Amino acid sequence: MPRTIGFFVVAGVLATTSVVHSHHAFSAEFDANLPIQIRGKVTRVQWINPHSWIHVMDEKADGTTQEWMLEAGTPNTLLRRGLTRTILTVGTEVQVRGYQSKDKICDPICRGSGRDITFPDGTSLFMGSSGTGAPRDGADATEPPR
Amino acid sequence: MTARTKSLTAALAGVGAAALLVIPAAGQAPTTSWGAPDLRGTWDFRSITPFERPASFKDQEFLTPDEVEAFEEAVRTSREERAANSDYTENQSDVDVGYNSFFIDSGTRMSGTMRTSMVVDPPDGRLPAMTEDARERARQRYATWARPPRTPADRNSAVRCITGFNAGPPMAPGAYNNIMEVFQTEDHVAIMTEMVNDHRIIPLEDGPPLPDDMRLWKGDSRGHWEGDTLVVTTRNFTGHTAFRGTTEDMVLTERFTRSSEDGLLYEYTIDDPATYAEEWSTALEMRRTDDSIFEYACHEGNLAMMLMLRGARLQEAEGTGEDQWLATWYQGAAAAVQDSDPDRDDK
Repeated sequence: MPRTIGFFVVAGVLATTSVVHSHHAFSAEFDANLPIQIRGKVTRVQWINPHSWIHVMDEKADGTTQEWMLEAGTPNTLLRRGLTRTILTVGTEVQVRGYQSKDKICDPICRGSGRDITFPDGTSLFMGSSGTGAPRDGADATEPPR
Repeated sequence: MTARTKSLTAALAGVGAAALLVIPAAGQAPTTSWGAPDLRGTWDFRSITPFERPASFKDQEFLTPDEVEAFEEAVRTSREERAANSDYTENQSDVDVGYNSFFIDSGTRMSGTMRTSMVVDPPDGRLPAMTEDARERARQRYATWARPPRTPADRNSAVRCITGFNAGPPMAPGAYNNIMEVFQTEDHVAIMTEMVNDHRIIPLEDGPPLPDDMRLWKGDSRGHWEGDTLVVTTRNFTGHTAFRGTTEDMVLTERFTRSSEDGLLYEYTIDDPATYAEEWSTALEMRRTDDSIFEYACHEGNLAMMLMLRGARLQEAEGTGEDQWLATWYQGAAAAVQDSDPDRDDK
């Protein structure tokens, strides 16, 4: 019986819960046609509601650098993913995929979204971690016990 | 025996009463030092319980624990598959998926009410039909949001950092910041949500109502105790917040009841004849949390408005200003109100 609650119900859930409440269309702020891949060291993290901003100095293939600030989730959202102040420190090497802002302005700093973030050991956060709905993998210490 | 009674009976038989939402008997709720029911603490109202009952549940009102577990697993699986299969590049919907994966924190668990929907009245778990006037207002809102913003006023109050999209009143689970803290004194209750750090200070004593022409963004809330339940009635809205399309004349009634040591049953009723033909009500169980409420810096930290306006101007200059600006999650609702028949099945 439990397995019979299937996709149709879930589709209904996603449709129902997604209708009303969110802050702004992500696609209104960032351009789906401007995907970005940033690789470099974290230079600053702004733990601000409603959106944290992670600054990364992108080390480009030609040897030059460009600083980006990448929009992320709320402080509590990041903490529930296991992304704490002691993990995401200045100097941490990361790779971030996301999209550039629609205005394309990079002076004095480029802005973009952060879709997912990968650390040097291959650990990837935000995609498929607890709290986004993935299986409880222990990463989310705040997940209430069952 | 009605089908609904059957389903409830089956739920009770299948799980045992202990697993269902337990409302303490009168006088048994935790109390403050001055003897009032104690609602204090930080409460998490994340939930994946559907707002309206999905058609596939038909007339089933309650779920068994096995069904709740299966539902939660199905949601998790669906999210994983969607994330794994999304196209990273040049895909409008993927941008929103990226948003979801990176930002959304709507929880992984159903409400402790074990209901198939948050809407409990009408009994079918579906909202009453909207009036044609309300549908026209909705059409105008969606038309504005679908075009490139010309000024900040072209975006809703949440985008403009004036109100929080889930902060209420009433509080309604949203994409993130789904926690609130309750403070109490003998004659006041205060509620602060993490979202926008919105707060309400609710007097518990009778007083003259506000004049009809005095309107507040979050309305004027007055509370009183009915047994162990805090009942809060809110009037004098502005209409700018338009919770689920409502008008400034909406009368909101909220009920807060401790359901267990770590549970707070939250119910609200919407009465707004200009928008809905009938009153409707929801129920949700909030869970106690040790999480901290973070300071909000919406204006200071939110660059979205600047990026949207600059992006719109750039697209105009480039001749690409007719881009789709309506978020994918609004598009279904926007399409629904294009039909002028208020009695259509999907409401």
